[in-house]
Amino acid sequence: MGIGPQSLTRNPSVLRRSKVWTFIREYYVAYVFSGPAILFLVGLLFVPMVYVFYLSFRQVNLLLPAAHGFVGWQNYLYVLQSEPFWLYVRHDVVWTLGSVLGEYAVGMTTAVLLDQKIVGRAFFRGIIIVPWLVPIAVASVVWTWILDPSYGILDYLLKQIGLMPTAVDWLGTPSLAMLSIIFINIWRSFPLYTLMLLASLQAVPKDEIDAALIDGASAFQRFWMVKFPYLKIASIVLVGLNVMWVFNNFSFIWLLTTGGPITATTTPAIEIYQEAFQSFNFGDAAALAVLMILLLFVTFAIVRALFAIWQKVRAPRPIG
Amino acid sequence: MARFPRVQSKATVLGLAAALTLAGLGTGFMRVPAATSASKKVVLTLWWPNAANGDPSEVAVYDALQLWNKNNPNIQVQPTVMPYSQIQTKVTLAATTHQLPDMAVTLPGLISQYYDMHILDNLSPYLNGWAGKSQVYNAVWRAVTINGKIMAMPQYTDVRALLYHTNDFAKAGITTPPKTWAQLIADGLKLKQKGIAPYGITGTGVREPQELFAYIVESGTNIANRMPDGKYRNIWATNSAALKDATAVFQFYATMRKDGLITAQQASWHWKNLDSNFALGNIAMAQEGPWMATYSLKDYPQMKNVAIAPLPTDNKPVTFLEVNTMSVFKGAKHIKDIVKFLKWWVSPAAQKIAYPSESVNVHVVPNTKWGLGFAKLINTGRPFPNVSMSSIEQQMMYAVQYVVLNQKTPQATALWLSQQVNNDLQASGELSPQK
Repeated sequence: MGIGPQSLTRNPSVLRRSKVWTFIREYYVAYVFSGPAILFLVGLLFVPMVYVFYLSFRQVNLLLPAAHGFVGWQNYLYVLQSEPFWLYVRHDVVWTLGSVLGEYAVGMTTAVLLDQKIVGRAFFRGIIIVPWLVPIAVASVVWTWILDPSYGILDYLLKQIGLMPTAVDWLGTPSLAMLSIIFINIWRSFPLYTLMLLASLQAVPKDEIDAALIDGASAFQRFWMVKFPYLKIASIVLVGLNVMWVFNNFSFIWLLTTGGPITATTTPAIEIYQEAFQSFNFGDAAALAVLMILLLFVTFAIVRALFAIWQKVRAPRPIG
Repeated sequence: MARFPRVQSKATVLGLAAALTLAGLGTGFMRVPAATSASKKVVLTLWWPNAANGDPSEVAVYDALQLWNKNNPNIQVQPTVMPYSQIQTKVTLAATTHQLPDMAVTLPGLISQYYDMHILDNLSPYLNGWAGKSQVYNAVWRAVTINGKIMAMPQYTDVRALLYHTNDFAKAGITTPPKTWAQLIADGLKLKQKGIAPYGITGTGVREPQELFAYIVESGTNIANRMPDGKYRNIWATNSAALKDATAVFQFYATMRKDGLITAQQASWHWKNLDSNFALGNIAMAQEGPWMATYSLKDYPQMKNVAIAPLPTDNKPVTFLEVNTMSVFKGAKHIKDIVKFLKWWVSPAAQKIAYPSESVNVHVVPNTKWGLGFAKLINTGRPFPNVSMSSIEQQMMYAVQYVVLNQKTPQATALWLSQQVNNDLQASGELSPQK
């Protein structure tokens, strides 16, 4: 059989092979270089996720190896019907909303302040990042000491200035523990918001601000009508990412309260760890993890929808 | 798209592919050569929590092991250091991949878990005829015996007693330690009137379930009863007498909290909080163990005024017996060498170095208030029931926190804990259907 140009065009299979070969010759270098990243993603993300999904339909209790086997939806039913699960979801919602809204509010306030021409602006811009640079483990230990009712500096100061007659166990009182860890999380995470929002604020065209000023806009109007629309993209990215990070956060809560006192700060992430590595019940833990992923998708979809509505409602309008 | 020259790009691709193959797959085919293949020297692997540069008590244990290795060049014990929590997790996970060490240090409550997982070697055939067996307390052997089989080698033991500062008692006009719970509360009120914090508890961490268990067995009940079918069940919800006993325990906590003998803050106290507050003299009384002897050697002046008494009780005197063990795992190749090492480990020669104040050997009792004070209580000690305790211990912590933080009444707490214990027993396959 001839292999000249004419025969190539006549034989569809040869033509197809030739196209494939041309494609490989054209792009193989790109595939080779992206290969490690693809392997990484498949091996360390995709495969474990599929395996967790598989485990969620099986009884896998390391203390009962003889009872391992397929159980269908039983793990999901067990988790969904257990009262603590919905309590832990409520805790997670409070933890996520409290943290993200608090971080956004403090981050926005500090970003606006640092956007002003104030004395020592460069110093404050540098120093504000410090809480975010402190490793979580170190921040947790330091805050545990600060809030300790026996020797913590906070209770000592509050007592000295007469604001509190007796020491308060901030992390050990069920009604205060969640508020305390939200506060600590805000303290640690707001600098990221500050930096991102400050960068966006500095990108606002000066002539628009000047025009608003000439038109007699107040400081609040200048911020709300001119600057704030430019913060939308940064806000969507920040809030979206942080909702995911905070919702799944394990380390901060575990290091500060281990989910206690009792279960006052237990979230599904904490429960997954306890179920898997304290009770060694990997089937239930996997079902819980899959439900967490679904909840996260729902949460993220709500966040996106809210931002979409916000963008439609608050499109930039001319002043005057 | 810009491309490399043909020859160079092919070489690059081949090189990268080879490198990735070697890097990615190389380790998968690696085999660690057996340490003992080329010589008669046997290396026994041990997972334990004692670091050579740890605190003095850890260093002492390490020194004992070094002595064994020095005197037994052909049976070397090679320790891998990790915290207790990691040992438990690692053993459980390693059991599924058949990569267990020869031995691992094991906390009480875990022997039953390992037994249920069928990973422990039965040591009875090696120890039953051994002359040195009588040197170890009977109560200690009972704690490591499951269904008539010795499933681990005891290495040290801690019983619980009431430790109190005699100077605080003197200030409050108290001459003898309390013998009942009611007396303890009455003495606590006297101490409180003198401005002395009367009592200390733990509300979290490994010590809390042990502390609670001591009060539970004192009250005449148990956290899980062995039923005629050989399985276990908490009977508080179905047996009114047992519920009364269990409620009394939580009532004891509630009364101490109501009367100000303990504080709400203690619900989050870990063992370090309790021990250091007692050693510093910040609290007058606590349920403690012989490890407190180490504080008396350090710069804690208040430890000079400490006395030891049996735990106050309204029933017969019993206490919690903690027996820390070395588990030997099935499949260990050199079982005779392991047993030889373990027999030496409980001998006076090793115990005097490693655990002078917490020895399992009846001949190692220091002639001090610490040694004598605790040794006489060992045979009144009761270990945890032979069930997987890790989840149950967590529920016990919650129960104490519920009462101390005024979240549940004593009886509601007892009923709640009963339900949780049975749930956990069911999850681990140990629940008896009999009621």
